Amino acid sequence: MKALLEIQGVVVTAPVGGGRVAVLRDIDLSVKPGGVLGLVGESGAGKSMIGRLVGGVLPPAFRVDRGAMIFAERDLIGMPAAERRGLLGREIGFIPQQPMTSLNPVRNVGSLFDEHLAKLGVAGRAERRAQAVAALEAVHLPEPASLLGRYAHELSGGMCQRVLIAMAFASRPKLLVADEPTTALDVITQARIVALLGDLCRQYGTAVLFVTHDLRLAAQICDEIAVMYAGEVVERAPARDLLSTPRHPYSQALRSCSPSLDGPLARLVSLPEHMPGLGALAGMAGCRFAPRCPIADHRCAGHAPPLAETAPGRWVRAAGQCLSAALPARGDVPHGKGDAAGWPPRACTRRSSRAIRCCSGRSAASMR
Amino acid sequence: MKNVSFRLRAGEFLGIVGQSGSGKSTVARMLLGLEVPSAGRIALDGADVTGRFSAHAAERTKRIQMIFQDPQSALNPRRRVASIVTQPMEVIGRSAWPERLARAKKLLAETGLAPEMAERFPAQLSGGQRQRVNIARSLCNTPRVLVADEIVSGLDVSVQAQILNLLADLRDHHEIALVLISHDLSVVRYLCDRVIVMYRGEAVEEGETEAVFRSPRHWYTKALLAAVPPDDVNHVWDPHTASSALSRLDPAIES
Repeated sequence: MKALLEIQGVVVTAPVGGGRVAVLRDIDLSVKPGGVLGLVGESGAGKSMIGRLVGGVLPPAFRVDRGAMIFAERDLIGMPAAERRGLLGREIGFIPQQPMTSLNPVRNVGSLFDEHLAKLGVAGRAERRAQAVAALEAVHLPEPASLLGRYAHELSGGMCQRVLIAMAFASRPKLLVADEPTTALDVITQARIVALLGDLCRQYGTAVLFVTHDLRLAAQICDEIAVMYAGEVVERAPARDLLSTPRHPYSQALRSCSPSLDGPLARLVSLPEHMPGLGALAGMAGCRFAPRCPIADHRCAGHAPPLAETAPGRWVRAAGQCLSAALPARGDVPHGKGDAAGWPPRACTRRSSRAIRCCSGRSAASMR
Repeated sequence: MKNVSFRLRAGEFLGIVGQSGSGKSTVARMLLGLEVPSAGRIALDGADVTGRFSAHAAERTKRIQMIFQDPQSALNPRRRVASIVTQPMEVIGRSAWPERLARAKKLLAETGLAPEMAERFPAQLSGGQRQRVNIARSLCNTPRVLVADEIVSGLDVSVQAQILNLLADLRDHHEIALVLISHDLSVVRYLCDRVIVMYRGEAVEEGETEAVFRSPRHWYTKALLAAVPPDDVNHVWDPHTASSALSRLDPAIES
């Protein structure tokens, strides 16, 4: 099937000091019509920047230096600015990260919805009102008619997110950019929003660019996942394969640094230091992950590996030694990179040590 | 909130989970004496510490410490780290600066921060370092109980892992109890021996963490667990399961 969105070798630069630094480097991604692509990584990895790139709302002074971006057989990069703006909110929908602060606090839901539908060309106030009520009903909001008179501060986070989803789907978009749509919500509300998004996308055939830091959530709801680090895609694979057998050292760390409900109860891996900022990227010639990589050696600082296909559908930005090297077992971590930071993972000893202490505790016997 | 009863053993890590609005944070506020229950009592080592002006309020201040959710706003931007982490010493009496500085260095070492951090201001620290300072301050008066309200929810996963490992080290090397309030069940599984599930102001299930998570009894606990995406990709997760159980059994809850 022909891709709905195809991003090829895109480089986005930003001014830093006197020169320009690649904020996004060599991005290759594609989304099929009705497909779901997950973008996973920590803050600063460039996930949201891809969302802004696709929406055509890069920050001022950021620009696309190289590459091509094709959306529904149109070239997004060469497109006149006015036409590009017209796509956002119509063919490309957007759901922001902070639902509570994304609705104008001094205008009620009805007025915001009315403005949005008027922009989409729906004539007549009564018609727009009827459509707004129907859209709010479609996202399972109770009493949609009375909701039109309410303000963002009167709604919960989950309800604000539903209002924003209703607005995004009012135009039946071909592509939806969802920027961490459930991060600010608790688990049950997250499950409900994800279920709702899935239903609506299936109904309208909408493709999704799903930005999240939760690899396990992405593995369940996406078709393909791209793991991002410091402005680069470091690994791309079918969603479930990426969670079950991550190849890149960063993807592996991402999986084992967050606790799970059903995985083994091992000590969490935590990477040392931080993701390099824009200033640090300027002076970095080699692999951008090397300073934090548990298996980096002298070769890594000078060599930036390309994103290469290692198996059908599986792409990894890593040199041969990264993939052949087994991650260090306990004890072989170079000094200064190891244990304090939680690498390598070691078995959790809590049950045994607890049992001993609980018996000597004051109130242990009185606890039923 | 009604009928919430629990005992916290010395050195025990207790998790309190539930959705927003379930009453988790009210429990924390009562432990600290910021909220007075309409009925019931809270006792620390047998002494009544219910409410702000209880007879043993001073003892509570020394023995129960809070780790705040947002380290950015919980640290005074005009004080240096050494002064922030030893601020609890001001509560128990005056101490000379060299003494405070020595204590600060010890606390920083315990929480994995370099000694030179003592001279810095909060604005010069990263998010993870600020949360460590926050934890160092709570340890200053060697409390018996720490109360932590959603302390890792806003952090990036790798910083979150550092903080969780730090708390795991406290558990293994210190005689200190923790009440961890979180909506993230996997965090509670990682750290806590016991868990209390709260729903609409009531504790609906309580028990050993592994036992509760492996075989939940209450429908709400089942819904909470079903809402978490699994690590095992062969386990097919359907977001409709959690959401439909809740809509069926409690249609009035926030949609």
